[in-house]
Amino acid sequence: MPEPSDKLLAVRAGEGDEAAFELLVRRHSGPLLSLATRLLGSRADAEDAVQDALVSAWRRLPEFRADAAFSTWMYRIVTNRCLNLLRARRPTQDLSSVPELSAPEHAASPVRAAESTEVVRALSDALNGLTPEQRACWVLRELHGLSYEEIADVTRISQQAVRGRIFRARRYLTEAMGAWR
Amino acid sequence: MAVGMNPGSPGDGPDRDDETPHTNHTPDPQDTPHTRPGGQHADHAGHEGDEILLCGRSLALVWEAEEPDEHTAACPYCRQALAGLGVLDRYVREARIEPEPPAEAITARVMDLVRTELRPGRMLPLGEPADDAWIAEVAAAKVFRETAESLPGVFAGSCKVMPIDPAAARRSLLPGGQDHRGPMRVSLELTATLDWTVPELAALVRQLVADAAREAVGMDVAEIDVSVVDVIGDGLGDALGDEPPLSRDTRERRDR
Repeated sequence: MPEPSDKLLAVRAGEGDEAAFELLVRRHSGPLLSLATRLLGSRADAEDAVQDALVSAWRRLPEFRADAAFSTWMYRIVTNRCLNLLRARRPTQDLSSVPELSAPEHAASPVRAAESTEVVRALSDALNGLTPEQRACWVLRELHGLSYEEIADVTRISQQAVRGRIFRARRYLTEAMGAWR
Repeated sequence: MAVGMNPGSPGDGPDRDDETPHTNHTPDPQDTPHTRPGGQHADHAGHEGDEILLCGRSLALVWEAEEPDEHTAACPYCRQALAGLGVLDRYVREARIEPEPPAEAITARVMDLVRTELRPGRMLPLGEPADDAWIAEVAAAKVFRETAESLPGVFAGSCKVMPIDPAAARRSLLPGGQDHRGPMRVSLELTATLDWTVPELAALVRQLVADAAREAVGMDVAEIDVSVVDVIGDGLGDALGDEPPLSRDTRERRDR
């Protein structure tokens, strides 16, 4: 059974079709909530950010040009909102206050689920040590699988700057996770 | 510790990354104490903030390479750097497969807010002049889209309803504009599966929309523009493999 494309739904939503917008929200709010949670480190803050971003998207859809993918556009709105929140939160903790962690060794063991949660929490703690901009680029690349080009589009910086931020984030995280000393 | 400052030889790094470095860089507070940034060696570094391994390779480029080359595979400094990234990658893999947080609540909250927002839309005339009856363009468009989507494999996109008279159309675009009575034009965009040919689909939708305008809405629609802007599921029938693509004749017979 074919589904209407994001592009078609975005055009309809831009003309005031609430049902089309609701389909878009159902499709995208899960990944957007993941992104915001990973950027902000707090589910409650993430829900507020994504809700505000989606309502703002509804207001701006009449001007939305369908030459950009709806998902990229939403990633941009959510990322910007999260970056503003993170910048307002600065300063972040410094490296010395991040607990050193050991690597996940038994990823296939029966207690995997519990360990997985631990691993994710450890990574989430370490992300607090990055600058908001590094964090955004690294999360979009490593956890959401965006290309350098897409990240440059979302964050409106050059691809070279994206690569620089991701490198510095990796450099910091390998250190913070005790992976390389 | 394998990492240290070494200028290396200028030709050492792969030249695919030989891009102009940007200049407004502020050093990060997280530069680690036992390494130094390689920014001043940006002629062969991946980007500023890069570090140069003791073997002379750029750490950024070693990490970004899809596959280790001959040097990296044999070099203890490069291999140690890759092992460090490999440990981080194990965390990343775990984090990636975390289930998405449930989004039903947020969808409901967003839609509640959206439905309470008034978007001042265009009002269009209905029936006879004496009726003084009007309908929001959004509501008329909803009827026309649903009419088109009653056909299998068809989705309706943009649907604009406007007076045919250009001056009246301009006035109707003003907020609250509803001073015009007269014949209307419906412009409807469709996407459809390859089961349809464009002419047969356009003709059928024009007929259905004309019927709906007259019977369901009560609007004087004199022109209906239908354009098929996209196809859905290109090759879908082939992918299923059990049904050969229909010839045009078969399609037309089936759909009548």
